[in-house]
Amino acid sequence: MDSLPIDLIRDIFSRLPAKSIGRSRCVSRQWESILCRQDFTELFLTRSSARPRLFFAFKGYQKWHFFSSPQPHSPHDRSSSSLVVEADSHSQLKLPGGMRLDFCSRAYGLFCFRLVSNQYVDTVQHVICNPTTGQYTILPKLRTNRQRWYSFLGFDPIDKQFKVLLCMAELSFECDYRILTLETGKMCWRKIKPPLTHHPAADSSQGICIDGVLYYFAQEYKNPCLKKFMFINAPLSIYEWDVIKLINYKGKLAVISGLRNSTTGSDERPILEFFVWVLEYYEFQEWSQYAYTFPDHNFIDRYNVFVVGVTTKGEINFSKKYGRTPDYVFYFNPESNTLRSVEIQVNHEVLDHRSYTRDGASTFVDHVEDLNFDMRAHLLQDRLRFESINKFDALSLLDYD
Amino acid sequence: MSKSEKKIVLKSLDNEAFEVEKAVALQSQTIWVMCEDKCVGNEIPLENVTGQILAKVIDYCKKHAVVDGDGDESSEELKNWDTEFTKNMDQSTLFNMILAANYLNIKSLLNLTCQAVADKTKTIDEFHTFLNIENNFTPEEEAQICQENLWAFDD
Repeated sequence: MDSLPIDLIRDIFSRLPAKSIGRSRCVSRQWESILCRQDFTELFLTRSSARPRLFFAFKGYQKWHFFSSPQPHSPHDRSSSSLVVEADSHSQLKLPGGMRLDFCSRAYGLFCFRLVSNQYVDTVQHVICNPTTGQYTILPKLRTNRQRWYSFLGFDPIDKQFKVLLCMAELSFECDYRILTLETGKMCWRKIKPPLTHHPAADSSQGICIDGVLYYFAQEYKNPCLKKFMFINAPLSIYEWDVIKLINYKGKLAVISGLRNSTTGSDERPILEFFVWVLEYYEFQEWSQYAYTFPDHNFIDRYNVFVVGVTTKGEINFSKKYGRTPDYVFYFNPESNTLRSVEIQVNHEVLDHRSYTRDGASTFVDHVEDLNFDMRAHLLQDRLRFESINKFDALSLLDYD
Repeated sequence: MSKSEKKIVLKSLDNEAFEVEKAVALQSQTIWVMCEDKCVGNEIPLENVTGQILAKVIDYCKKHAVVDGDGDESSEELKNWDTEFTKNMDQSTLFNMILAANYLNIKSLLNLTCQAVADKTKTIDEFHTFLNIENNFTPEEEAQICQENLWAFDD
């Protein structure tokens, strides 16, 4: 057989899992150099974005363990089909000294955690982790006497930078805001003063970054002038529902409710419904409301299923809430009103350990494997040029200076 | 255009001749350029492709050709066809298909075959053996580079 030209082999490599790349870097000088170069890691990121994965993060006592599985394609038939996929182990995050970490936020391939302490502390510290490689970096400590922290990780596609927004609050509306850009060299927290006084609501993993704009639920204090922070009136009170979540619905901001019993359902078998509100025009703050009935399914009752997110293809992803691992995920297609269940098998001895708690698993859709963020060197290489246009530039919180 | 002008003959490395519709053959950018330049007659010699591989390439092009009024094939069906098409090819056939798709410059076929090789790669060590990659690290270098990529060896 003729040997393939190098750029064709490179093309094949870009379609392999990240771990295969890591191993292939260890086989020859030539391939080490080719597979470490930025043009390759960017090609890899482009390919990886085209085949996003389902991602699972398991919280242990002093560590996190990450798994991912292929995100099943739409079935060709319209019937509700069942699939089994196996999740591969990625890496684990364990800090020296057994520090405990809480998950805060994620953007593209990176995750942001915060160090937890049982005692009163006057500092707050974050860890950014690339679960593809398990590499992490600890962000500079921040001194504060405030005791409530809300941290959000965002990605700015224009400057190709990751930024962390931290709100430090008390019970009152007084908040301090800091922002940090992940970059080469010394990183520092900048103080910012948003023109709107607000208090982030609930837990910060509710934040979502779309096209360089970070959205999160907040309560407004008063209504001063509008600058780069902007309030969007929520289509409903967040206290009206047990569970609501911000989602990226085909590039638009949307709010999705949890499941609830339909008021019109018969007594024998309650019909489950949920709602999606899509922000059509942010200028007019116009939301369209869609109501969906959840297809009848043996596995489902309203108390054990929660929303994970929406895939780029517009399928809404649900996961079962209880159980040590997420046994099943469900894909609901709003257009055809069909539901697919996918059994996820996560087999790893580490999960047998009793420190992995019953509700310690989190599921994420559209995870992208990224080799660009090299933590060892604290180096952020130039990011892929995302094709999306920064439509909400005027709102861009992340660009606030 | 007369009937004969709509057909074209492709000749493989081992002198096998295939008569195909022009619309089918023109999916190859290489053939398209040759025809544009009028540097060839009705018969195009393809010196890098064997008859066995060319037959498969033509199968692919026939399926993907946009012939007048024949646009019924849904993209889903085409995708299934593509999957079936590469399903039973072994690695060496796939590599020859990649070479042919590259030479003939058929982007979608190149994409399909590269993806098929990646999907069929069960273990990366097998792939290295297949590519005949020679380890030219010194033991010290190898130890260091493996240390740097330790995450990839942790199952």
